[in-house]
Amino acid sequence: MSLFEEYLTRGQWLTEEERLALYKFLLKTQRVRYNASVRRLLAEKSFNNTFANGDLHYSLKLNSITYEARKMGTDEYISNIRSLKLSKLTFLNRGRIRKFFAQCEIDVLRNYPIPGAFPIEERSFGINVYPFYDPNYYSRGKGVVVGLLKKMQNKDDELLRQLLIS
Amino acid sequence: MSFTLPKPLIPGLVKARVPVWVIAAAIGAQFVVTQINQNHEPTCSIKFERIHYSSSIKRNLGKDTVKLNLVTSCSQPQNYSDIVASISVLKNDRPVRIYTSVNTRQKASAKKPTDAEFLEFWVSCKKDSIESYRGEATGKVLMSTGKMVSVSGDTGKFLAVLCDFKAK
Repeated sequence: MSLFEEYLTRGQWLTEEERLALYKFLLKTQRVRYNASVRRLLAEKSFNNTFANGDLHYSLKLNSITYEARKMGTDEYISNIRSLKLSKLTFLNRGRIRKFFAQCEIDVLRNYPIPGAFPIEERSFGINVYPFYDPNYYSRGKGVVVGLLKKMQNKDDELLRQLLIS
Repeated sequence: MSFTLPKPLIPGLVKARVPVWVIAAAIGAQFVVTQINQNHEPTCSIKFERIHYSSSIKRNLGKDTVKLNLVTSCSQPQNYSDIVASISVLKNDRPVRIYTSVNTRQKASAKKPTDAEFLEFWVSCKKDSIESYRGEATGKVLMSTGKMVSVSGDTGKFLAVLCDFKAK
């Protein structure tokens, strides 16, 4: 089992550092899949996907992308989890939507991991308020400028390297 | 000694008495006003568990940690809570903050929609050491009505925790 496959079973047992490394890993390795998803979402305004043990439903309305998620095999979606307002500078949007997809998949993995060696406790849906692509994540809500400076200091770490080689 | 009202006064008192329906209406109105006020003013608080050595994290991740579990609890159903939690330790009689969480959002519990439970705040500890810990949390709760309510609180005084299974 690769480290990535193990992470897919960890869910709520992933640490913050592991989630961030996994987010970077997804961005690096899933670019082709995300680009195809971006094209489909922009064309069809709605798009379904699965990740770990969750179903994701993306929709594009009024220049904003939102997603809802549910555990596989269940009926009810958790709605209004996250949204992304698209830029009028359309050439920026492809990269932003890729990051949004990666973040949403991290959210879903956190809550709906693949059943495995790690026990899954019944909890309500939990996420980081600031997504990894928002500089406020790095500044802990203290603004974009501070966040960008802190993000520059945050280098690709050992966890990402391990994910990439496993 | 007994006291009796002079007979001529009794009919006067009876006439001056407020009608029963007026009293009932006043009580009813008071009840409605109280309910309306309650409906518009939800209250929320943070309930903390005692900071403890986490045997579940040891079992699943192999790490020695102390854990701060908390619940935001409201008088009315909530949508979600956003919380930043921190853990401080007493070093040389001075509090030193050793952990601050990212801003974490937890949806309301399906079983108890007035509550949202946070179970992911923890920090590593040195095996077999005994340290005094204190937890704090601050954040906001979005009620189902759309109203936002601020919350904050702490675990109180510093409490010693043994970084080992024996603490349980």
